[in-house]
Amino acid sequence: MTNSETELVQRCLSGDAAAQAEFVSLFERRVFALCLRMLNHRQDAEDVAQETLLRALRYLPGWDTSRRLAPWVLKIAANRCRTALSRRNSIPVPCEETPDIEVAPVHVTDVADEVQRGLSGLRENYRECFILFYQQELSVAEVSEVMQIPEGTVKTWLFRARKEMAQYLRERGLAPDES
Amino acid sequence: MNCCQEFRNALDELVLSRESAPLEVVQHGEQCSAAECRAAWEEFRLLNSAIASWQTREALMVVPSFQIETTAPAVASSSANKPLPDSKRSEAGLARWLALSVAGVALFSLLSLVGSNLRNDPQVATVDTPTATEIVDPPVLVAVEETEEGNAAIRDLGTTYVSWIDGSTDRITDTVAFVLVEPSHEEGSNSHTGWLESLQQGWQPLESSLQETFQELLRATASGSYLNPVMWKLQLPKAA
Repeated sequence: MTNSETELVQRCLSGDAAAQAEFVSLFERRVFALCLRMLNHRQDAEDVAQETLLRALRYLPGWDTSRRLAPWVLKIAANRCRTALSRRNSIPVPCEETPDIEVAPVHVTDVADEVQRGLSGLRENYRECFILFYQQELSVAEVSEVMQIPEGTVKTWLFRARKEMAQYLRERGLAPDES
Repeated sequence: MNCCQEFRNALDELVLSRESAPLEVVQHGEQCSAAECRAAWEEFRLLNSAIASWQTREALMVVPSFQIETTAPAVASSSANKPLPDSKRSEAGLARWLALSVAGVALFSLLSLVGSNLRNDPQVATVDTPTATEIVDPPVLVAVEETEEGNAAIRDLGTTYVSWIDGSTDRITDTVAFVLVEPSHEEGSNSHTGWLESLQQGWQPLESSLQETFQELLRATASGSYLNPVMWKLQLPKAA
C-alpha cells in the first residue's frame, strides 16, 4: 500500500467522481490486459473488465489497507474471468488454435504471436499463473494472493507453464538464436 | 549434487527474481559439456527472449476507455457500507425507534378500534330497537366505496348471518316451549312448572322484540340499503 493509493481510495469513498475516474484510469489497462489474455476474446474481456472495475469501486470499503491495491483489483478480475470461463466451458466451441504437427518456419516478428498461441494452449491455471507473473509482473506472493493458492503451488505451476511454452516454441521452430 | 542440478536451481532462482543471469551462470551454460546443462541454458534463453517480445507487445495493447456510468450508486453503496460516527449512529437509532413506536401505536389503535366494533356489534343488533331517527343518523363509515358487487357480497353475508341468528333464536324458543309443555314426573314438579311459566312470561316481550328486530333486519338486508345487518345503525350513504 502506498500513500497515493490510500488517498485515492479515500477520495473514491467520499464520492469524488474525479477520483473514481482516476481509479478506473489507473487500473483499466492492467485489468483489460489480464482479462483479454485469460479469456482470449476481446468483447468478453471488455465486458469482464468493465464489471471488474465497477465491482472494485463498489467493494472498495472492503479493501485491506495493509495490502497493495493492484493485486486486490486483479484478484477481482481473475475471479470474474474464471466465472466467465466456467460459463463458456459449458458451451462447446470448435478448436481453431490447435497447433499443427508439421513445423512451419516462424519469423522473428511472429514470436509474440507464437507465445500468445502457446499461452492459449496451456491449462487454465497455468495460463493464469503465467499471465499474472509475466504480464502483470506480480511477485510470487502476490500471484499466490490473487489465485488463492500456496506460493509453492505458484512456483510449480509457473515452471510447468514455462516448460510447456518452451516445448511449444521449439515445436514451432523457434530457437534461442532466432529470437 | 551434480553441476546440472545446481545450474538448474540457479536458473530457477533467476526466473523468480527476474534478474539477468550473472557472468558465471552464462559461462557455465555456454561451456558446460553436460547436455542437460546446455539444454537448460537454451530453454532459459529461448523463453527469456520470447517472453520479452510478448511483454513488449502487451505493453502496446490498445485498451478501450472504460466509463463507469453508475458511479453514483457505487458511491452510495460504498458510503452506505462505511460505519457511521457514534453520534450519527445514535441519532439514526433514535429516529428508527421513534418511527417504530409510532407505527406500533397506530397499529394498536387500529386493532383496538376494530376489536371494540366487533365486541359492540351484538349489543346493537340484539338490544336496541331501531327508530327512524337512528336509521337516518349520519354514517360513520364514509370512506368505504360502495360498489354493486360489494353490496351484493355484503347482502349475502348479512342474509346468512341473520338467518343463522334467527334459526338459533327459534331453536331457543322451541326448547323453552318444549320444556314448558313437557310434563314432569318428578316430585315437586309444580314448583318447577310455576318457575317455567314465569320464565316464559318473562321471555315473551324479549322474544317478540327479537322477532321484530330480525324481521326488520331481513327486510333491510333484502332491500340492500344497509352496509351490514349487524351494524345496521351505520347506514352507508348512496353514492352521488
